[in-house]
Amino acid sequence: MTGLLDHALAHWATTTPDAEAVRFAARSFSYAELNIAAEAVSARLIREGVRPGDRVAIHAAKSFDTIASVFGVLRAGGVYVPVDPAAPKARIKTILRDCGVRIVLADPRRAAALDGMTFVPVVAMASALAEEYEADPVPRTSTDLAYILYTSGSTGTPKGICHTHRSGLAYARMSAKLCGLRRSDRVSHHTPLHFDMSIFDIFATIEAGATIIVISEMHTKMPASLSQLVEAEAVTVWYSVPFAMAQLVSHGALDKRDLSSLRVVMFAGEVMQPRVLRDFATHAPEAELLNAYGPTETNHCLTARIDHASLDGVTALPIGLPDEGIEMRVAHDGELLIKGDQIMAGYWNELTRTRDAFDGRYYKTGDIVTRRVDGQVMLVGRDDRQVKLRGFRVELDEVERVLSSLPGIEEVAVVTDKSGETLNAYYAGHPSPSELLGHAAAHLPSYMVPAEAIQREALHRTSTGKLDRRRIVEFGDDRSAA
Amino acid sequence: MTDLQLKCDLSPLRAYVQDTLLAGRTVADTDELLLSGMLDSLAVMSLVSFVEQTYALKVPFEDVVIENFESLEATGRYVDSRGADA
Repeated sequence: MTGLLDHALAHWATTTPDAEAVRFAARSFSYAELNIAAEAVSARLIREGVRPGDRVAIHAAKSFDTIASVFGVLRAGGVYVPVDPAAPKARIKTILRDCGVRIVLADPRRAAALDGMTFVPVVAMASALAEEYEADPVPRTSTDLAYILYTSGSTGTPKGICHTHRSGLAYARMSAKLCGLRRSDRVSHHTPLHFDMSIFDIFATIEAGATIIVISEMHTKMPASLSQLVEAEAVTVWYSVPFAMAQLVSHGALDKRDLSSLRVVMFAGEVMQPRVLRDFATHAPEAELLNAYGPTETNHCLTARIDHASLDGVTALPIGLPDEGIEMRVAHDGELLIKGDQIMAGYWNELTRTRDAFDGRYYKTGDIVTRRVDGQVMLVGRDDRQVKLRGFRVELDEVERVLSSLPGIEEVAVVTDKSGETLNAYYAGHPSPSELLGHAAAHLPSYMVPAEAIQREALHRTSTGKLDRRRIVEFGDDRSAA
Repeated sequence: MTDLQLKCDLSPLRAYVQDTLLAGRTVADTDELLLSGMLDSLAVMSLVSFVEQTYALKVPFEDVVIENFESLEATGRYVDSRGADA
């Protein structure tokens, strides 16, 4: 196999054409079918005028078609740009303009919503998959851009994180090896395409010749249906944000499910509460538990293998050790720096920002870490999640960790109010505000105890399942907003 | 308006979904509510608690599944089925 992200698909389509590549909505798609669909999308894009290096947006709910489209764009020499299927129109417009998207591939609902955005042609994904025109292969190299993922960043302006075939493939191969992926594996595809965890779901799985189990948007909102799906599809490798697992634990009716097919349970994107993981792990006692760490810029690059027996009584999990091919350094202020082949090429169209993100060849993560005596790296917090209160430096993540260790707390966000001088805790769960504050007072120095605890039915989440602290603060004064 | 032959009254649910959850957007009783872009997971939880309050029933976690809440009609059918238990 060579150095392009889509070569594994062609390889397996030749050697094991009938093997299952994708499962979606109880339908099975073989490697041969996925390869043919990707060829069709590629031919359609070329017929529409897409040239090597052109950006092609994918704006659709996850399905077999989105996976075929991802590979189709790459085959055509294009760069795929996944757009949050739930994004408001203004944000979509910003992204499409920022990276000069040539064409949008959309599902019917998204195509209708893009109506009137006349500066870019929209092609119905289903029609691209049915394309009959055949195109000649496009010459490409591993240093070509493969995809751009937009993240909000702490300022709220989207920035486009650019990965090449080389960086994407380095990550796909490393992570496939890390999880011991083999052809018999059935890997969950839970996160949306615009979130970096999908790179594992799609490319590590196809690299290994295994099967992608696409989890529909509907299933991600219905934990009891999701747990049904995991059982019915006999998922062997699970990968999601911790929140999805917390939802399965609290609302997934796991007592009625058999999750014994799970061989690897991996999570990333946010801090996992040991209590939640322990509850989840009781339903998958044989599964290897992997706490993955890494910003979109580096892909996941550190992993901790968590021992089931270690989960009792701890309040924080390590993020482990650097993965194969990764070199790490800890700066004097505790900031974690990462170097390796799987690191991004840069931010789209932002030379200064790209330059500022690196120290030599090391990417500066902005995450503050310490090392345990056994060498395991522990995440302390974000440098931008550190506030000064009454002269003390406070890690908001640390306060959250302590609050969420109280049994019955489902989720919690600790934020400063608009003045920046008072801590407030927003949470969902059955303990009363005074119980939560009492727990905080018993475990934290007084300057770290929130002034107020505000109980909600649930907390705002971003489309990728992370706590949306900006919206939580924004709606903070409105007690009726849940 | 379709003839659903439901025993429960869908109008409070319809009003809640359209006015509160969808900010005034009109939906047919058979429209797929859960497809991305319509209701997010926060809204799904609000929908479930509205059903509990309005129809005076407790919805156990294992009932919060796609087939019970995928549309107004499906939700109505679910409420009817729960009414039959009582």
